[in-house]
Amino acid sequence: MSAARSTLPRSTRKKHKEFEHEALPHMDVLYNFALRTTGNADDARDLLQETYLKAYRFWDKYEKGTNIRAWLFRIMKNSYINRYRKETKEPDKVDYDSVENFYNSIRSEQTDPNDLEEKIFGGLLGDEVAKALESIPEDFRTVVILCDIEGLTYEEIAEFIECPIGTVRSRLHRGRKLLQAKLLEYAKEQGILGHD
Amino acid sequence: MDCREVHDHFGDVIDRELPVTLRERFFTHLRRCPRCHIEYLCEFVGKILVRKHLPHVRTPADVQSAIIHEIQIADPIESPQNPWLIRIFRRHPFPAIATGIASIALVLYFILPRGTHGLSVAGLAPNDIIRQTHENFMLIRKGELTPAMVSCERDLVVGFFEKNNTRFAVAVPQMEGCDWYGATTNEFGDALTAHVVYKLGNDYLYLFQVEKTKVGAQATLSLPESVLASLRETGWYTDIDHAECSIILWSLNGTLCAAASTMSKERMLALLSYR
Ligand SMILES: [Zn+2]
Ligand SMILES: [Zn+2]
Repeated sequence: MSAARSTLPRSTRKKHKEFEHEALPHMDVLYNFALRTTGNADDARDLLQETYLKAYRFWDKYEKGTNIRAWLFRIMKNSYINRYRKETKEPDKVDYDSVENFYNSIRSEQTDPNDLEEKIFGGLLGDEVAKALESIPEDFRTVVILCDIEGLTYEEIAEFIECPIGTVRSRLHRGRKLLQAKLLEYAKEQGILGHD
Repeated sequence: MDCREVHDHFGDVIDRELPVTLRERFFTHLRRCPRCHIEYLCEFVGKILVRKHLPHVRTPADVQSAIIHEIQIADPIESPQNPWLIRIFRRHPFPAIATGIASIALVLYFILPRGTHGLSVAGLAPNDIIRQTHENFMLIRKGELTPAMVSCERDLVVGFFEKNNTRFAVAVPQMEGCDWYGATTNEFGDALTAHVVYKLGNDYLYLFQVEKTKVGAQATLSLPESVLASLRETGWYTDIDHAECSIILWSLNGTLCAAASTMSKERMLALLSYR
């Protein structure tokens, strides 16, 4: 224990301890969100560091007893917007006809989603799924990540993004539709699915 | 349940948010309606694909430890291996902590001593950039020259120079593994100079920057003729080794930069090759 450390003000030591106990355990949730949102490990690392540093600096603004994960998530979201948001791009056009054709092409005796996944998308790679996820607009992508990767409930997601549950549900539905169309495109390119 | 209602509940079923009382009615419809059935399956497949290919991962250990380290130095007084900052804060209590006001940049009110020229770089004129860089760097290491702002975030340093209206392009290279950045501006005659300090583990790296037009035989700041020639021909100049540090000079976008560090020249060059 050095001289400098022993002269630390008690309030600073308390703040440090609190922060370590309350904020640090949620690193994985934030890291996964950062990784899937930025699409690469370097940016995820920077974003996570920035988030924790800001959270620490603004620790006295955190209302004890409220949802800390949601609070940290919002800091991350703001940092992401400031740092990485590209010009708001038009969402890619979804080829609904091709989705529709696809529905018609699958025979309805297929009953298990796992079988269907294996049969239609079995050749897809993780990179392609990641790319498809990155391609969908941010608001939709956010709820898909929170729901499908982080495993949050609708109620938790609503608190994270500060929207009503109805918004969470509709964004999830739309997000998954966009994702589906994109994945279908990749599957077609690979020739897993016949061209129509 | 009709097609519309069933469609609205896809997500609820997939995410296990549908009340049990509605489940039976939902699946009864699916058994009768192939169109809804297929659409439901496809939406479910999306979730399966994401979960299968993009699993939840642990935060890498090096990222974890970097964050813990950054938080430790966020209260600079807590870092005993930081003599420079400890000195500053002993003399001037950290205002943000003292008042409880959260502030991202720690703005301190220190000014570079003007015209303090020792004798260490013998033979160079007092307005010589190599001499000034060398002397400033020695003062930084001794903790006697302190920056106007210190921050862990490069962006805030860039913002600091923008706010100070330097009128020339100040380079603030992003440095992997940088513990914190310090920045200040100063005037030498009619030349505004910009100063950036990097703390990387046990090393300091110091950048002195000035508008190129302020440097020359008849100008406010000078350099030996051989150095000017090297800059003209190659864009670079690396100084003969001083006992205590290496110095590298280059010019870019109308700015003349001089870097001093205790690091090896090779490491400095690697860090500075941001172009
Ligand atoms: Zn729909
Ligand atoms: Zn139906």
